[in-house]
Amino acid sequence: MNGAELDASQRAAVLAEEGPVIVAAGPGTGKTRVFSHRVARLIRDRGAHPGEILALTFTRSAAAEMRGRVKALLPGARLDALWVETCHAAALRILREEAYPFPEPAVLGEAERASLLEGVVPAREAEALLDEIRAAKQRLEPPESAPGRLYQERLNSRRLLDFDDLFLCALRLFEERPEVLKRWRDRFRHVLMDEFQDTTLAQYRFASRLAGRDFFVVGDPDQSIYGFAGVPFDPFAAFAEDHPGCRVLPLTENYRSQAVILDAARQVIARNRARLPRQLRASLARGLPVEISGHQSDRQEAEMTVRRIEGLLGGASRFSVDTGWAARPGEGERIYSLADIAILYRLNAQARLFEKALERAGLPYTTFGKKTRKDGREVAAVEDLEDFRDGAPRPAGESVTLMTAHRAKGLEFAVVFLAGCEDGVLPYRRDGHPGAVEDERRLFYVAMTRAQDRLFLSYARQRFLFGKSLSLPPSPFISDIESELRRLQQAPRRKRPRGRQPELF
Amino acid sequence: MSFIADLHIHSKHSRACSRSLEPGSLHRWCQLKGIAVLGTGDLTHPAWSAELESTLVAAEPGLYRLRPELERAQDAKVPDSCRAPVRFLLEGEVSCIYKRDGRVRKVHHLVFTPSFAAAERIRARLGEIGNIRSDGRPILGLDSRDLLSIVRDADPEAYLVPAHAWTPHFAVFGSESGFDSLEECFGDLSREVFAIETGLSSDPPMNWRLSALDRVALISNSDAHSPEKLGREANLFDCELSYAGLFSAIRGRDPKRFLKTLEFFPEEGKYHADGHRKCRARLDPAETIRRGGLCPACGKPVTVGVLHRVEKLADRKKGKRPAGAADYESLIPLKEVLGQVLRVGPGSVKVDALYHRLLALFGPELRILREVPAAELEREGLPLLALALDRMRQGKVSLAAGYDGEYGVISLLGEDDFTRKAQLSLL
Ligand SMILES: [Zn+2]
Ligand SMILES: [Zn+2]
Repeated sequence: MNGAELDASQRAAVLAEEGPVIVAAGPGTGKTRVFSHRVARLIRDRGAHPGEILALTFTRSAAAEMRGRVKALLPGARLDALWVETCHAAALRILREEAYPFPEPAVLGEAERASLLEGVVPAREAEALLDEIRAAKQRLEPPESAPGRLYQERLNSRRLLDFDDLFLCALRLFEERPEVLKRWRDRFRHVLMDEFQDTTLAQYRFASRLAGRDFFVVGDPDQSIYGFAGVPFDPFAAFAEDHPGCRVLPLTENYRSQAVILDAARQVIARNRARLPRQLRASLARGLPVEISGHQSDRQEAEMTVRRIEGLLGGASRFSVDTGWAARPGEGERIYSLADIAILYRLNAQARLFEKALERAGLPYTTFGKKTRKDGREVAAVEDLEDFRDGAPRPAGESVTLMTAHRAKGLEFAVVFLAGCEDGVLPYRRDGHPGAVEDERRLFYVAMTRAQDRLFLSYARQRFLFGKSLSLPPSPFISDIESELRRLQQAPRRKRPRGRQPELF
Repeated sequence: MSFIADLHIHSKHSRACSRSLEPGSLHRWCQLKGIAVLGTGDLTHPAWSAELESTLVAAEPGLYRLRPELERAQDAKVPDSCRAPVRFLLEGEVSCIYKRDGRVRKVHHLVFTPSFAAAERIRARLGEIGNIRSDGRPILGLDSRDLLSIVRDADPEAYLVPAHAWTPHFAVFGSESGFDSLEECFGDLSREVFAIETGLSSDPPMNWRLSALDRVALISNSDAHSPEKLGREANLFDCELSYAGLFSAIRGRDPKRFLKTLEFFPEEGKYHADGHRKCRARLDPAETIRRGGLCPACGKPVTVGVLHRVEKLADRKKGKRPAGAADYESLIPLKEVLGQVLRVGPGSVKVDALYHRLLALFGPELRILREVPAAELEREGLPLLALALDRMRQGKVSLAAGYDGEYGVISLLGEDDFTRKAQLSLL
């Protein structure tokens, strides 16, 4: 193992004695690298057979990346027997090998779930019912309600499973046939789990059934953003309870963000109760302050954001360069390309105005994800589960990225615009629900820490959302950032380029 | 017989472009200017393409003309002295913004196709990659090499030519976000690039200083954003009037068929010298280097102009002309010349009136600038104009170079000329 590539905290995690270990990995601390080095070390230095390792990731793309990294660390090694899978894929593989509960278990697509409810409930109630079924299954409870039971019967009669059944079935299999469980436990002598903070109860039970003594989990409780409101499950607490005396090893160096951005993010998250000790340090230079701008309306927010983007591109058209419409890069600023830039927001409904403004400017963009529920909860990684089957082809050219803060989890961008920083949008508050401010603060923290070089926060005094016009104050999270780290941009008035009408050339 | 072609313009669908860039007025203005073949501009734009398809009909192979009834309506507004056939050639421009080797690249390219079908194939591919509807010159996050590959795959006779190759911000050799060579930009496909557009701020002698460009043809076009600017740079051919005829003359760099380019004085271009517009600071390359690239007034980096950039990449001294290179002529738009003669702005009513009177008398603008003998102008009572055009044709001009987006100023007449000729009224 080439230890020189790892910093001290990474090395400590990679080389930790086998046994129950929590690696507390803050944003940008190199957890993927620790995870892949750990797998490689088990094979190369500890004599583990690749088939003895079960490495669980959150998404399919993460699994693909991890597999690639391990391969790169072990040139020439035969890794066919190594399992690097999402929890869902691992559960399905086991069920298929065991031909349980059907000879050839297959999974019903997310889009088709609603079709099972045809004639059971009115279409507009289907989504809520499907949520309820999912929530129950993630607590390892079969659906109780009459329509829920009907859903399950229809599913079974078609010899299909839904995504959540995978764990229920696997756990039932392990319970009904202990010899099967023993065989799998004997096989997987090393279980590793990434993005542990977003593990559901069902996933956790599944993984811990399989795990023996060497159970290595990597995650950051401050980045847990897929929790079910009202169903708190704290995987770290569960792990600590199930594995008394487990070691907690923090990764301490952030290599992603300029120091100002990281410091600002740490000030925000500091208001949340710490579930694991926080020991994050910036290793990059200070960088430019976090820019905060208030706007009259959500429309103006979108316009001004796109204008700022044109400036960061160093002018996207001759018109914007020649007229000075796009400000020249200022002191310490450099220019960026389309793919460096992301606009993040709390709710998919916010995307439309940015899309329109980008279209007017003629800038290419890609919007990821189309759906947020009314309760503001992101469809928990369902798109990622969907690409469990096949990922949609990505367009070939570069573009500006538009996505929810949820969706941005695990990604990084040189420049991040976090829009709609208003009290009520981020933190999101639904009528009648006070909202879990700690959950929302974590989301804000995740969004901030996606930024490498530049972070822009914006809010609008007037916003049109879900058919209502809202006047909301700026997000309280903004005031958690001390003033030395931020720069306030006065809401600029709408105006044409200065001076004479630009000449048509 | 020789003819003039302007192969890069924009339509009303491009950002910051005149609404009157539509097929009828283009047909009329080509006659006023003396242009025989005009690029259509914006072939990637679906609405513009649809308009072209419904207003143009096929003429010589790969060329199009306005439908006869539309031609007749426009020709009625053109003085007899200027009437001539006009042909269109399908052309568009794409702005590529992408990262390569860790640097942001922003490069404009011209695309030519011999048919609407080929243009449609290119649109289909580009439409999958980005938004081609909101701007006639679409911005795509596409690598130049990949654009070239798409163009090539659309039709064996579809071509890509790097546009205004030296402008700082949006060009293949631009100082801000370009490359140092065609090879660096196009990689394995670089040999497919057989021409570059030199742009307003550079002329052929500047380009001749790079031996790497000996193998490519240098073309010049107006990049017009309004009909009045058509033909301010252009190409003179003596070849078969067809798409294949034009491109074979360019590709072959045959000085008998691709005769010359009609150029701006490069100093008049907006990015010839270095400088910082906000501070009205113009610097020549040596001074920029002496000042470490910073503006003497505010200390911020200056925009490095075309001259500087050429000198940086040049591997030859001035004066060498590669074999096969087309000739060139340096011109000044007639309205600017008239503005100087009349000592009023080039956009003034007086200038416009005289401009149209001259067109009616002598024929299209480019003929007046290039061919009408001084004696004829004097006979018409225009001795100062005769003097000014004579000086332009001989290159006896005084120059204040453009920089950082500010046009340069070319003076043809001095105070003396006016006192001497004061007795002659021009009105
Ligand atoms: Zn251009
Ligand atoms: Zn200055």
